Amino acid sequence: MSEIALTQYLLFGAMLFVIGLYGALTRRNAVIILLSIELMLMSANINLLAFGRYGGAVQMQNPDATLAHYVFAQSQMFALFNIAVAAAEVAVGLAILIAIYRLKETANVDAYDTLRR
Amino acid sequence: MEGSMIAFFLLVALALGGAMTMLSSTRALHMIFSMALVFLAIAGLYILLGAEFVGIVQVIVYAGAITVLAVFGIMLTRHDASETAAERSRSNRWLAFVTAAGLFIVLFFAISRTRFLPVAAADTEHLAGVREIGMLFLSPDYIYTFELASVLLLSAFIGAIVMAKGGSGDE
Repeated sequence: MSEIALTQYLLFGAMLFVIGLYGALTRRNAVIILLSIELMLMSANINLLAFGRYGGAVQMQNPDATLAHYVFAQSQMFALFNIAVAAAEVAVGLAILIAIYRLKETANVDAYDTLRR
Repeated sequence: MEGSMIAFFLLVALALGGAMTMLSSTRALHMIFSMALVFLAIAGLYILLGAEFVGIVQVIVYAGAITVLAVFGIMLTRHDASETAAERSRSNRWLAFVTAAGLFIVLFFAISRTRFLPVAAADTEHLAGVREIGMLFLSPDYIYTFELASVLLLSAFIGAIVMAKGGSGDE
């Protein structure tokens, strides 16, 4: 195994996703939870780019090089959309955090239980 | 080929180490700076994959903007050391660990058992660059999605300003 394979990228993405999930479930600080969700979004990006780069099925069925390039450009485009959505999410999330902080005087998510009462 | 292998494992170790530091750290600012390390390492991985443009966007958006925004979020809210360090209850952490580990085991077996078709080593110098991505964004297939993403960003930022400003002004 002399070259980095698709499997290694996918495993790395899975590890990153799991770490982000654990962080989002255990932290109490709202900012850190947002960053953990970013980590999970980024692992999806890694999977997209790895599949686009090593799109084996496409290359096997059609040795035409332009199609493989098209698939890789498409995967990069999806990753860029993902980054745009992530940026919007962080901006709105932090704005909501600041608005709630004004009300509750804390960034601890355990204190945000108004709807449960 | 050997060099890219070394770079891959170095970047993976950096990213996973940063993420682990993020989980084990007790101070919010340290967490954010270790996350910045993770963002940079992943940008390196994108470049290693041949997606230079996405890697550079990752540096600008994640390591630049989102890190700074998160630091602002930390600075504008009060953080007692006890509050940040305090974990949730032991049962909650145990449950979260079981969930995460179970998901990883499922993903590990799914990924390692799948036989992906072997790929002939693609020529790395002819990979899709910025030009192809731009053409694809503005092609008839994706132009509406592209415009929709712009509208999403605009409305998200206006919404963020309105929400963070608070109040309707006449109170």
